[in-house]
Amino acid sequence: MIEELKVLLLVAIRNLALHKVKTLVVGGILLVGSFLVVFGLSLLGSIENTMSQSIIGSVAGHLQVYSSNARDELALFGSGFFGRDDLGEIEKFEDVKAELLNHPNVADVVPLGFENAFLGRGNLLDDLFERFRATVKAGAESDTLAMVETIKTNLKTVRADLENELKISSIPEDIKKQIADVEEALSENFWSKLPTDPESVLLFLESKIAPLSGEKEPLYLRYMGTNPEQFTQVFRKFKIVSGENIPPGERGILLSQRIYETQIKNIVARGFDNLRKGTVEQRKKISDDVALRTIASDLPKQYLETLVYLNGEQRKEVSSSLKEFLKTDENDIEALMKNFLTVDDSNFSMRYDFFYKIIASKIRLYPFKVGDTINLRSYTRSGFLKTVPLKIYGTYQFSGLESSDLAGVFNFVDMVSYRELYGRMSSEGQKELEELRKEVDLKPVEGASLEDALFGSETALETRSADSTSQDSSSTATRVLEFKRLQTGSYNPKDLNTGMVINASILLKNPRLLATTRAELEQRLSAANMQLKVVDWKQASGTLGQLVTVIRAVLLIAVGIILIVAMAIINNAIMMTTLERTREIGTLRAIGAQRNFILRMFFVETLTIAVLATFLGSLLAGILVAFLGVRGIASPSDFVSFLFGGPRLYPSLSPTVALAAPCVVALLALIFTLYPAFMASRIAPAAAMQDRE
Amino acid sequence: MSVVLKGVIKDYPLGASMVRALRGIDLTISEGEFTTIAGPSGCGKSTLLNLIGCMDVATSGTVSIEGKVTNALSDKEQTTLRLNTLGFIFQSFNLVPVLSVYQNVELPLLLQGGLSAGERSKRISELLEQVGLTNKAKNRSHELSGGQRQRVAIARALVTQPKIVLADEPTANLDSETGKNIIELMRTLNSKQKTTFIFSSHDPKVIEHARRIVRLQDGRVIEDVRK
Repeated sequence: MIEELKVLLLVAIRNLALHKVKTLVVGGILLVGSFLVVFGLSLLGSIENTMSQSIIGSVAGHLQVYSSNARDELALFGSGFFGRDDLGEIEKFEDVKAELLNHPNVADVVPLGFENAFLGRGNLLDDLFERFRATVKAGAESDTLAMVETIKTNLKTVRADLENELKISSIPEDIKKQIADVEEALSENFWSKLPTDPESVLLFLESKIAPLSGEKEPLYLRYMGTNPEQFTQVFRKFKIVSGENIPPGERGILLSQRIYETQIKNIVARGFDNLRKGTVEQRKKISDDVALRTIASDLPKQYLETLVYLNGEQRKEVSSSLKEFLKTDENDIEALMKNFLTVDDSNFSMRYDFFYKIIASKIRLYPFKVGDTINLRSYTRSGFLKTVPLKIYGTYQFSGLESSDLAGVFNFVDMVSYRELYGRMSSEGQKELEELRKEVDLKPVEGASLEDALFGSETALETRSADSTSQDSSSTATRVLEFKRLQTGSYNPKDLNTGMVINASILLKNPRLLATTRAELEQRLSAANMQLKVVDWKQASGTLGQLVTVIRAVLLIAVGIILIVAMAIINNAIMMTTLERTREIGTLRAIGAQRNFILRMFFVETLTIAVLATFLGSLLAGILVAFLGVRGIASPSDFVSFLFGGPRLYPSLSPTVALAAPCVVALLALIFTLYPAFMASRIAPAAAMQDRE
Repeated sequence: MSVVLKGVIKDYPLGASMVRALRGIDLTISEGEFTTIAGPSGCGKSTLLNLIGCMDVATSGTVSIEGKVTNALSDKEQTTLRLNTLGFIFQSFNLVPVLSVYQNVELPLLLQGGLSAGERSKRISELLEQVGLTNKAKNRSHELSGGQRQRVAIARALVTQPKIVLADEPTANLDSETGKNIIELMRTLNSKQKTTFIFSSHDPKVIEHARRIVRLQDGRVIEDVRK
């Protein structure tokens, strides 16, 4: 047996050496196939691993629980930004948490709920006129005059826009009237009234002119209600960047550092930041890269976004600095600023430095800062627009995922404010309502009381928000702040963990038991008569979680197609050599070789080349993966860095894949040898008599 | 009796019609005989040898090898018979090109199994000496002349010590001198080991070396003479 195998192996090797082209083609195909499978799967495995850490470590946890009455599937990272998913509600979080914690593998349960809100950002002219009013009130003539100039420049832009609009408008009468208003505001006659009758000037500007510039795009914020303290403890990647976490019992919001920097920051500064990222970090050229070129060409158009923030003194300062910097005789600050903002590869880094050194300190880089209060607006479940004032306690990021838009998509608010925006009452609110009822001696009646509660809650909350918006929170003294807390900001910290939530993250002690724990938890919950479902992080993250699965399927299908084509080639190649070797095979049969022997001969031949080629392919893939594991693969985009769990992916080889993949490919090759080998074994011994050498 | 053929008829399909290659052959070949099947090409020599060599089955009549009727044997049994009882020498030598002289001769022993490497080596060395190729043991077949290749083939045919050696035109691809040598070698081995040799030929010079000449024509035995 062993002797026979020796001969078979010898015949195989000799034959492989004899048919060099065939051997090289077949071997090459098998090598590449095995290489692709091992390399691709190792890379995907690594990505899945890092991605799971990103997803699990940022918000998802290992498992998510939500109502089984949900009409949509939970998609933490979005199923579409504006789509408002119906995820149902978890009525009593405290009960669910207690039930879940009974399971020995559950480490913690974090309440969540997410929703979209928007922040109106007013318009540029509103902003300008508001500050103009303040300047006029302050009474410094030079400042006022400087602002008048700025206003006039803005008005010219507005007039130009309107004139363009007139050409295409279907209501030319209205537009003509608006142009007349702007002309009026531009006239010397109009401004001559300023010293004597400032109020009429201001009113005209605010009421007639301001609406013409249109609203700035509102800022959309995705927010996540949770128990901030617990969240920080559970999700270790979560780091406060500036300010502090929302204290227990306080209303507030933590802004994503990423959103703060890339959506909230002054648009000119953002332009500079993005260009710097592109040119310095990614080493691209503005002239070569379409995206960078667009940012650069937009920059001069935003010049007003710097000038409006400057007062008279600052305008002079900036103007002379710019004159010196640009080495020009130009005196007009607008021309200077436009010139300055016209950047290219040669001057960008100097101008970046100048911008941050001279200009940035004088303008308002962020419309709101840590410590400010913003009004978060959102639609309640019943469709009312609800506004809740929230103090910005700080900004946060997930370490390793600083540059990822996905990880930074959420802004965190306390669960109590979340419920309020959702249209639910806090226990405080309910108590308040009770007291109100007592005061007006309202006896709740079954059924009707429901309606009352609804209306009651709305009114109560409306009053609350009106209260706090009127307060200027940025510069209030501690005492006043304390007072405010008592009045509107605070709540019973216990409320964070009791009452309604939308979903909850479940953290496991042993993540390896994820699948079984998930099933067990679902069983427990249904046994406890709770209408809830438990999904794993992959499912919970929406399309994102399935991404790797999809990529892997695509890769395997692609490799599968390549391999099947390859196998057809192999099949053909073996068929050809079989034909060539008919007499040899006939001879072997004639001198006493059984059909089996011929089969084995072909199998050994395929196996020899297949094992050599596939394991070499696997080895090469392993070496490449090991090399990349040390060097890392730079993430090409912010999205990919979320998948990579950081700016670079350090892939590692899966030993199972490295061994199994070549075996599978070799097995496939063997299967495709079956037919030609079978045909060969059917060659009649008399074929030995065929008289040709 | 080594080989017994009784009323053997063999038809071959040729396109849509059948061609009758053998038209009723009765032939008995005893152990140790040195027999030539002679006749012009197309007379049925090869067909007859194929039937004796268990590579083909008669349309009717029986073929017995060493007392065993081969008609009903399965492919596997036929193969075993070829391996153990028969030896083959081909017109075109038919050595396995990728193997050395030694390995070619060793191949049937490996197919048989049972002998140790030492025993095989001993037997192969003896045979190579008898055919005069001891110093070519490690060469590959393409490095040998035609005569040398046929000697290797003879050694391979004899290595399993078969009862019967069948040779289909063993000298057709050789010049007459070499051919003569090959026939003499076969003759020597035949007389030494009492192996039955049956070979086909149409060459009168080769035929005259045989002890028994069976002439075929149009699928029939027309002459059967013993010298």
